[in-house]
Amino acid sequence: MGTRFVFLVPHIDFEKGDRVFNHIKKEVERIELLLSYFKSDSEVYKLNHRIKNNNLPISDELFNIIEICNKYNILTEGMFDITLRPVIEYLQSATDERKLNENSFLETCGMDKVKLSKQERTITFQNDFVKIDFGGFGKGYALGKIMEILYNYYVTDAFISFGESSVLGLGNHPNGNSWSVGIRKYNCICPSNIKIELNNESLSTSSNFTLSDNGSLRKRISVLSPVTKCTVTSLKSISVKSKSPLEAEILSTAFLVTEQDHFTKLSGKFNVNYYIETFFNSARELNIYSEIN
Amino acid sequence: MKDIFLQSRREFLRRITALIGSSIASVSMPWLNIFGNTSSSVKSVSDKVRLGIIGIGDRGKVLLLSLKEYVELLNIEIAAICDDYEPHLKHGLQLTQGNAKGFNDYRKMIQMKNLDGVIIATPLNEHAKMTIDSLNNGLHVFCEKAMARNIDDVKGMYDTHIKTKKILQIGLQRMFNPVYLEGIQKIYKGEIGQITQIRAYWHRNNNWRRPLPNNDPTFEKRVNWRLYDDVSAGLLTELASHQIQVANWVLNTEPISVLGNGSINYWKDGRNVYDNVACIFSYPNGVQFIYDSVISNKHYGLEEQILGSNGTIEFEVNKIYSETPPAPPAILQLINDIEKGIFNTFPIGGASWVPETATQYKGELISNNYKMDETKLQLEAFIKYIREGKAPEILTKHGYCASLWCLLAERAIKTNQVVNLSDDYKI
Repeated sequence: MGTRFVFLVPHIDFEKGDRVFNHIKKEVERIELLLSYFKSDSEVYKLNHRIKNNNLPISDELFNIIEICNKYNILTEGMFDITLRPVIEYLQSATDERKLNENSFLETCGMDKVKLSKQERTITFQNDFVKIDFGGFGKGYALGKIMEILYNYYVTDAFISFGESSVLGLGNHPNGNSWSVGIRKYNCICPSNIKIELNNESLSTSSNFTLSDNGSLRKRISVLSPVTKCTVTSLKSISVKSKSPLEAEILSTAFLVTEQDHFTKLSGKFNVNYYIETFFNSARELNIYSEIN
Repeated sequence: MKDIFLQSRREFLRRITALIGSSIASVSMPWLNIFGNTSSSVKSVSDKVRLGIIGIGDRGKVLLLSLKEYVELLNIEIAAICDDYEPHLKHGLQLTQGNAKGFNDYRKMIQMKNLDGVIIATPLNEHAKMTIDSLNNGLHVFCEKAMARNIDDVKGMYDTHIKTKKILQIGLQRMFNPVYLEGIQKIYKGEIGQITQIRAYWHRNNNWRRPLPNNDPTFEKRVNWRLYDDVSAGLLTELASHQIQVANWVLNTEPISVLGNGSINYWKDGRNVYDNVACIFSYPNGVQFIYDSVISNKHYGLEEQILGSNGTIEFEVNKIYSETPPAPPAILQLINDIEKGIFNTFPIGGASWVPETATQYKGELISNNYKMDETKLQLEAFIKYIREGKAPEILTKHGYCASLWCLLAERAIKTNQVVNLSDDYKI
């Protein structure tokens, strides 16, 4: 998954802990081999580097995953979209002259350009440019599978983290009635004032920047709204708490690029909690802040 | 300046006391124990250590000035100085405010009554006779690295030290540098895993020449002795010896063979020592130490890179790098809380942590205690060893092995053969 994984189970004996961890590790590796955008032997990579577009056979699991993505694309009114990556890559690499054609390029992407055939269990891409990317899906999907494994081993209290952006708090902290987490602050190792209790719940955070362990800004990430076709300019982070790790992951991905008005309308549809942190409204503010600090 | 030195020395002593409290440092670096040994401290005014310095050139002057810091602090006396070049001798005498007795022949100086030890900072080919004569005269010796110009002289110095039971300390000051001391301890504790390779280099971009007095060419060999094969092995004895010592220290053994190449490819100015060398030293268990040195490019500077299965150490920049990602601070806090029975909120949410690339990952400091003058500290140890009447044998062995293997590397280059250490020189 391109990040660090933390598996914390209090009071588990070493042998059982080892067994559970190895089971989880195998499962995560299996999911990665299915969904990775970068690994050349993954099923998704092979689909993205296809030599033809029509009626490509896919595994049942990937078929079901794309159906889930389609469902959430409709539920989020287009904000969750696994086909946007080529546009981002295009914007990052394109010259100014080519950017003039960005709208026409945008037209080549979208979930409607990916068609599934239930009878044939195949996928068809509408054009050569369409690629699918599960970057805003995979960790939540994996956390859901991990939760099942833990229940099968009768592990009731655990804290699992994928790169601190997708976490699962199962049962309780040994000294409390939940797992109490905070959102990281920019330029600080302390949590913000938002305190989130997780009890058999998951928290997924999406943001358009990455921080070092000391809280300093490492990198800004381009994210694009599939509806407004604009990139998010403010330094923004949104966390979603849900009983379902997958839903938390999908909604945090979708709502990061959702405009405020649209968000207000959409958020009521889901039985989840939202925590939004907008650190800076513009790149200019960010620069000023950096200078001050 | 003196206050800064005293302050940093106090900090060094505080940290060294903590370091030698660990069994690893106490056993593997016994030369540090002297800093925690109260019996080596000054007992009375009469308990004075009287020293002579042979050679007041660039390095000798540094050593003299360093010793002056200890005159009152450790109750020492710079009783004599010697140099056969009159201006150097005169300048040295000025630096001691005329308190030292001047000599232009070391043989006369070492006959002085009540002298406890000598410090030798002369051209390399003079080290052996001066050291052997001093030891035989009952004096303890601190000799600048490398030990001697040829391996028979190196062995002769060592054998005389054993025979006379007098201290022979070689000026390999990294053995007193807090960064190295703490880094070696981390290595011995296994923090960077199994050591699988060492790389080191020392790159400068200058001709290594010093100006001749009055441009008089008759001084050429005396002043620029590092450039002439009969006096010095150049880069190998003057620079590489330090880094060979570090490699031996890291691996806690010495090489089993060396191969190498060298040439004069840039400074074709009449010198006859190499201006570039490249060697591979093979150690037990298949570990290779890859070394190179040039004086026609300074971009990479100097470094000793210790490559382990779990991490890397770069001593010169005081850095340790882990092969695995650092544990998230929030998770460490969580584990800490659980162990202490505390229930706290910990900062977890954020964008996905992603691995940093080699150029982004800046590593961690090996030691926070790096603003120390290791040259002074090794002299402090020498003074204290004299007061004790002995020094840990491993200290001399480090000097011996480093000196021997830089000369064996020279032999490998000159003969274009893999060179092993013959049994005659094993100690």
